[in-house]
Amino acid sequence: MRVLLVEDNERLSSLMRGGLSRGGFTVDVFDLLEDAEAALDTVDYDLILLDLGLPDGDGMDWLKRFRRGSRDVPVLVVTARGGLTDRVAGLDTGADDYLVKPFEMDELLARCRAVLRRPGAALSTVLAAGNVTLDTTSRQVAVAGSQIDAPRRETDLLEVLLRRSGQVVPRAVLEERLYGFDDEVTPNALEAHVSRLRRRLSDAAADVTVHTVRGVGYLLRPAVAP
Amino acid sequence: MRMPSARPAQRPSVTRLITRRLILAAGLLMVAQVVLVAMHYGWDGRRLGVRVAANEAERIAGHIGIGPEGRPVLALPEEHVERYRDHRAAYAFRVVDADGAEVAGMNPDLFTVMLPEPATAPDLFWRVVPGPQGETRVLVQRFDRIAPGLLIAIAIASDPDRLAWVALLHEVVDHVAIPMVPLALLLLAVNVYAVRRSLLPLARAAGEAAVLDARRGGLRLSAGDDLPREVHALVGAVNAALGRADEVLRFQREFTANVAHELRTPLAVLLLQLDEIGGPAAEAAKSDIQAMSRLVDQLLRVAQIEGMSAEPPTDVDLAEVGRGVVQQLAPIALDRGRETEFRDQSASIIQGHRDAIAGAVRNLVDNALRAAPKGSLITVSAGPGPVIEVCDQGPGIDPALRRDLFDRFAQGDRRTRGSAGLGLAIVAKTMEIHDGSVTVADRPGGGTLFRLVFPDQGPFSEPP
Repeated sequence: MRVLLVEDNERLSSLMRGGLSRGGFTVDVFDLLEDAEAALDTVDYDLILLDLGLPDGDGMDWLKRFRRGSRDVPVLVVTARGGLTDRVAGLDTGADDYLVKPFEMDELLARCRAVLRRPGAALSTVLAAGNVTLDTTSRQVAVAGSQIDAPRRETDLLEVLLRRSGQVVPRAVLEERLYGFDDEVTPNALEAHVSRLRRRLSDAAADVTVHTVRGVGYLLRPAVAP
Repeated sequence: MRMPSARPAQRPSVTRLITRRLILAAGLLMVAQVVLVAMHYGWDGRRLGVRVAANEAERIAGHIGIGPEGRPVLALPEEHVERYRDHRAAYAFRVVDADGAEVAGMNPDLFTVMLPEPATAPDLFWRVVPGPQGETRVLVQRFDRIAPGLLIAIAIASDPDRLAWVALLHEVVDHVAIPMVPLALLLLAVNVYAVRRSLLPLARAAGEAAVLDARRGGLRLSAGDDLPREVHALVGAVNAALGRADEVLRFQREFTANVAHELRTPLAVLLLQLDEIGGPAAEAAKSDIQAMSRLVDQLLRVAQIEGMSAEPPTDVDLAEVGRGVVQQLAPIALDRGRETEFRDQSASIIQGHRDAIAGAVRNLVDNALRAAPKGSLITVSAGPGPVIEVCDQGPGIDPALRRDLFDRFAQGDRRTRGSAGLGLAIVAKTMEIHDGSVTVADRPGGGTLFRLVFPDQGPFSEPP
């Protein structure tokens, strides 16, 4: 994986380069947008890490121009402007994700991998959280390596939750993914599926569980040790 | 930021001031005219004397008719006779026909001068006769219109009935009030109309200025060509001030971005370097940096909210905001062993700044996470109406500390040190730019309830 890093603070860019290299990325560092643009013309990068406040221009404006040129390289914006409105603006102008300074190396690596895993990028076929895995093509669920049987709806539910493991998935999103237009969805259908999946996971001694956030949705997270 | 506007009723309008002064000027002018009339008669006693006597002659003439034998007859009413009967030494009259025969008369002793013969009498005969008790004024007037050669003679030795004053009053009414009052009223009306018309541009500019919200940038009063010079200058000055306010706002926004960059980049360097060093000491330093970074975030947010208020507001679904915050913070809450939930109680959609409101609610939940004990529940509810509430099952807040709870940097409790106090200041600031309010109360059954109330109609709704 080859990454283009545009960052004008030398110490920060060298630290980021070190961390990313240890994480398995090949990193080219530029401190000017002009130089980065020249590099993009000759090298096919898998990911761009972009700082916003650069000496020769604003990263956001550059990104807008870059996207207009119908380039679809994933872009992760790394910025000090952790403003509430910046986030929206960044995503509107074509950034795939947004990381506010300061950040830890683990987080940077996780975000880079997440951006690369997005649809359009390489498809990962096995989703995992804790000791639970799901093969998205064979639809097989396993806990600690041993396969368990789960009906289609529960497998679909687990897949959505696994894809956003650790985050709350709103009810509306789950209902939309799980039930077709023609399906009659009773108000408790989702609860019923969740509770069956929860029991199935705990019966198989899974170390993750489906947690309810009332009024919002569900999330998959490590089970609290009994 | 919004200044309490002065009650317009307590200040008279310019039109009213000018009208009042015009009325005063007209009044003074009329008084001056009265004085002039009075002076005119005062200087020339003869004129007033003739006027008084002539009035009296006219009154008597009004009661003379022609009798059955074709001779003039006087039928003076009782109230008229009284004057001559009661003041025998003051007033006298005679009516003489063409043959020199007396038709009527009272107190003839007062006529101490020879009266002219009817045949040769002039139209008006006037004599002032000096006497021991002062002057006696004698007037003889021809009344050919009643009967040819008819004379009425009046003698006035003194004036106990104040006939002179009555005559003077009549003169004032005839020469001042009747011609001047309608003219003055007409002038006043024209002036008021003209003043009101020429002040219209000023009133319009004032109206525009009144609905102007200083927190929003790029606003100007319209300086059309129809504005008079003075109003144009005023509008120009106001617009210049608004321009400077815009500059300050823009500077503030840029400053925030620059400060963010200058502060966060070295923090990022530090954090990554500590990552490389590793070990328990580095971990401790890392958590310090995270705390400091949170503080920087909050400080920047305070500055940002001001800038944000200059942006145009949008529709904000309060239920969506509340749900979004819970969705975002639920994993963090679970990491810390607390539960969160959201309740939609039919909240309204308001006009405002979504990110700022979400930030305020996030701060409240963040504080609740710190204050509430492990295993407790934090509830965010939206509605009914334009309301968002955050309540926890924590120890509550000492009422003595509540007063300045929302002041910047005021600390409610030692346990909520650091960014928490600033967080509440951000909440207060956010509600301020929305013209809303934040209140804190005890929750029935323990815990604290923060309540954000937004105005029923959008605070930024455009005037019609």
